[in-house]
Amino acid sequence: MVHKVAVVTGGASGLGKGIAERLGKDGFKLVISDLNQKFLDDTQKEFINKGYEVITLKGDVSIQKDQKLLAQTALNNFGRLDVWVNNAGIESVVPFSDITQEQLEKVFAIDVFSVVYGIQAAAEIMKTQDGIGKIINACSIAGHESYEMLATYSAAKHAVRSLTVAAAKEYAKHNIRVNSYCPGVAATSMWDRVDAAMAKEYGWQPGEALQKFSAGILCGRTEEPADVGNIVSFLASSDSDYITGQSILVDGGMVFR
Amino acid sequence: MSKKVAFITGAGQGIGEAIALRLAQDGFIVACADLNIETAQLVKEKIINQGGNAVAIQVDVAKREDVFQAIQKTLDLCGDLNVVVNNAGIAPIMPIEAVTPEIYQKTMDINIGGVLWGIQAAVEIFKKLGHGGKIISASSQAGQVGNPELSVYGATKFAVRGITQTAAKELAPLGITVNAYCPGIVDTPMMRKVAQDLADLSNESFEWGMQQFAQNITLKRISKPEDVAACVSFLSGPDSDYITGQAIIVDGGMVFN
Repeated sequence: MVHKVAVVTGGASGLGKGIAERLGKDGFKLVISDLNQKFLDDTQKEFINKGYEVITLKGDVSIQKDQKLLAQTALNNFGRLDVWVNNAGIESVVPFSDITQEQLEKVFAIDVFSVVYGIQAAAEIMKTQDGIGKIINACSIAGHESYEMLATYSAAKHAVRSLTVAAAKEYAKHNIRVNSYCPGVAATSMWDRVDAAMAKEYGWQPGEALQKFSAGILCGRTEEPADVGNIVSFLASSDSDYITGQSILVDGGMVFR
Repeated sequence: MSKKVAFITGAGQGIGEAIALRLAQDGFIVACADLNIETAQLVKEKIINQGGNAVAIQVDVAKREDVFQAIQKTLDLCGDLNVVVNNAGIAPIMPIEAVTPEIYQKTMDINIGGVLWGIQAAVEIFKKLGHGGKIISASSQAGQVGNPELSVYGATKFAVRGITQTAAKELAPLGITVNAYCPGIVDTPMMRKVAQDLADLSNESFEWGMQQFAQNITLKRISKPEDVAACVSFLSGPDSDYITGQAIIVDGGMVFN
């Protein structure tokens, strides 16, 4: 049984919640951050009922000092920080010609700058500790391939993959591993919005985009939060101690590296 | 719940032995298969002494019939088959101009043939048993980038990644996932021989030989076989059910996909 501490951003819903749930089951003390206080409260209640030790903090991952405060909160409450999951992110589904400066800035702030700030905040604390620190970033199939209507999101996730490598190289000397997980098509509220935007652009029925995108998945089903929880569990454990700088595809077989 | 069965080639030494020991610890019945039946039996004894369950089987993976017989024998002795690890391989090291037709043929037959026949034999048994399974093959860091003096070995390890992707796509409807692992510089008899051969070629010491390979490792340490076994443990278990067609790099940060 571990007595270690994990931070999960965007951990109160969707894939992030699946990650937090699995890490809780693995015995981690949890620090969950999210923008949505209600999600945080509901998730905290649910997890406490399951016997997990969990605190929550409302915060904006795109703000550097919020990420610092999150890391500090883990340290103040639980005495250490072993695993940091930069999970929070937003999508943006727009025809290329309609991409605006505002969308670019928002997506990059939440999906990319947040990863830089999160890595920095986590590493500052992990550097001072014994043992191996694990920083785990949400990449995506869109971090390996790029898709129509998802240019901004694909660019952002490619950036996360790159940051993962650079950070892995720089922080190795401090006994910190940096990796990412690359989900495929998960039927969460993010995909509800992706589906709706594509339906609008292409004149499709609701659900048609999800169906088209997931038609070729080798495992024959869309992704569940538990699938992402499973790989993050591996990346958070000592079994992945010799793996660093990798962006591992966990997409049921859509993109292959 | 009855125990799952794992068949591992090259289980008599090095990475294969570490995989056999780890999967036995994970609760598998392990079929230790090797060209050298004596080493396979020693590993089997080790597993049994540690409270696990194992059998030893002789196999020359270069021979298609041998592989089919060995896998059938696994089913006969162990009652099921769930995971097949095509681990056995050789690594001849020489300048590209020194590669002979014999070395080329032998390396291809073992490193690529062994994987192909292992996949075929596994599929035949999985179909007979009416359930899916996991096929895991040894690629390498040298299957991601070219390494001087390892032209043929590298070619076979690139090929293993190609076969892995193809097999994943073909076999998904049968509930079979197919993945590969890419070790880096691992302290095994095979790697020590490679380092010694390189040292001899260059009139240098064995330590110099090992250092030529190790100097580019981000984590600045050579891999133990257990590091690779930990990754194969993940690929063999339920936590990787949603991963297929991937070649996971467990090389301490030498290559980044």
